[in-house]
Amino acid sequence: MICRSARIQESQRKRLIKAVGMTKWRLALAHGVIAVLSITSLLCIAFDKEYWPFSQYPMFSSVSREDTLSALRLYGVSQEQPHREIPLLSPAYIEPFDKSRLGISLWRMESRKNLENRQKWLDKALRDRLKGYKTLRATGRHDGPPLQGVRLYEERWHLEASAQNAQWPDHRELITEVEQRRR
Amino acid sequence: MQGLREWWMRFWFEPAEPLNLGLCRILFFGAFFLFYFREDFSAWGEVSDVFWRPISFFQTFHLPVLSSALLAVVQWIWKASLLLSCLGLLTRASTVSSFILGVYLLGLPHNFGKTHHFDALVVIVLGIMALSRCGDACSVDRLMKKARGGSNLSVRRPRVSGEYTWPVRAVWLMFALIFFGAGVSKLRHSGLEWIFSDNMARMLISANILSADPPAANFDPPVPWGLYIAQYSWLTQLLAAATVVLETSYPLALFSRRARWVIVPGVFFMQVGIRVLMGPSFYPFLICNLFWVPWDRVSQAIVPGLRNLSGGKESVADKRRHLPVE
Repeated sequence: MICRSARIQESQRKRLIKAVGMTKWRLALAHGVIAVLSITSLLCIAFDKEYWPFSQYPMFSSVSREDTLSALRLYGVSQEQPHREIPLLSPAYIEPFDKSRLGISLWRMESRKNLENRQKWLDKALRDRLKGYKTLRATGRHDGPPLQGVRLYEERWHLEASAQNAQWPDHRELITEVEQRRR
Repeated sequence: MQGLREWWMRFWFEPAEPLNLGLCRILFFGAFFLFYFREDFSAWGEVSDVFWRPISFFQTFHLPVLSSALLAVVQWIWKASLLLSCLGLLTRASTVSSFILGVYLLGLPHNFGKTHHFDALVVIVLGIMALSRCGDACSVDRLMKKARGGSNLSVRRPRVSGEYTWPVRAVWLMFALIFFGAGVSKLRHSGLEWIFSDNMARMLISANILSADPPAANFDPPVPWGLYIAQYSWLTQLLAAATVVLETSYPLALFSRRARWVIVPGVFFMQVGIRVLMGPSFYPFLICNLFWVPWDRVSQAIVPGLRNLSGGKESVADKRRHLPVE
């Protein structure tokens, strides 16, 4: 009886494989892909973890309760007198970074507890971005003014519904600055 | 149990002609060839190691940052692979190379400070396409095989098969899991406060305050409409509620045609809305939505004879009749 039932199941399985027009190896491969995609994604969601390219997609998921907004911003200091500060926000100035990636990178360095390391890392990062700006300028990727240095500020705004205060933060604190090394 | 297995096989492996998957291949690889054509990954080779913060994938496989010169070579091979995949020339090799090089190149920027989420789906779809038989229709490979095969019917026309269904459904599955994950994240981290608070209004105002002047393409809101919406708390809460409902209910689009008609365009326009009101762009996601369109039916409506160029040896209706298991 069991033997007959197994034979029926086997014949049904073969008919099914034939009906879908795939070899059993290809069918197994497809099932493997479906299993990997589903299980990895569900694990990321269940454990709130990210294993790129799989993710729990946490962006914008936390609630902001404060009426203030703060951000780290990089400014270039022009060579010409009087020195002007130019916000380095445009992708053309900071490629291959974008302002979000660069801001978060600098914020991570700025949040380091070891003060000596923090300063060393920030200086190195700012020098790298100054060099990047100059390279992009030299290759014609932007027509910004020549810079003599860069400054990193922490800026804070009160959230005004009109956002008219965007250019004038309520609080502005210099975190660090670097100047072009003289030859 | 029998019914569940039958449903499973129908969903994933319903026999189909190769035309739809072939057209998806052309559109997907063509769109991303154009999208990434001007992208220069070689600049990452010159960024200071002080920014290097490897993601788990790069850490596990000990993947380094290649030099700028090497990155330039790799990216040109990758872009050529995308083009060859679009044309369907050496399809297996070109789709596999698009995937392997794509994993490295698209993953590389995420090791520098922050993991953006706009292109992870592209990497996964590249992998699905590399394992699929997407070159069986509308491809140069097919034309060459036909020319060599003469009048042999099995060479001239590939059989209808489940091979042409599961890759498209796998992309659908990823859409469902991604947006479901995004919805669950919001509820897990913030609960209903994400909807019933001023959170959305604050996000809209913040995006406009942090916007560069002039707005940077792909990162800043191009118009200040978010500020007008932020003035009406009922409207921001409605938008927030719609976002969470659409995201968490996305898996329904897999099973229900009616839900699909609401959820898929709803989320598409939600992402367009994020771009317009808040700035971040999700163009790769928007492009991947092409897998939801039945291109075989669309193309046959436009060009009635197209099926004859790549249609199945056996009609789909004939084949489907065999699928149910008594």
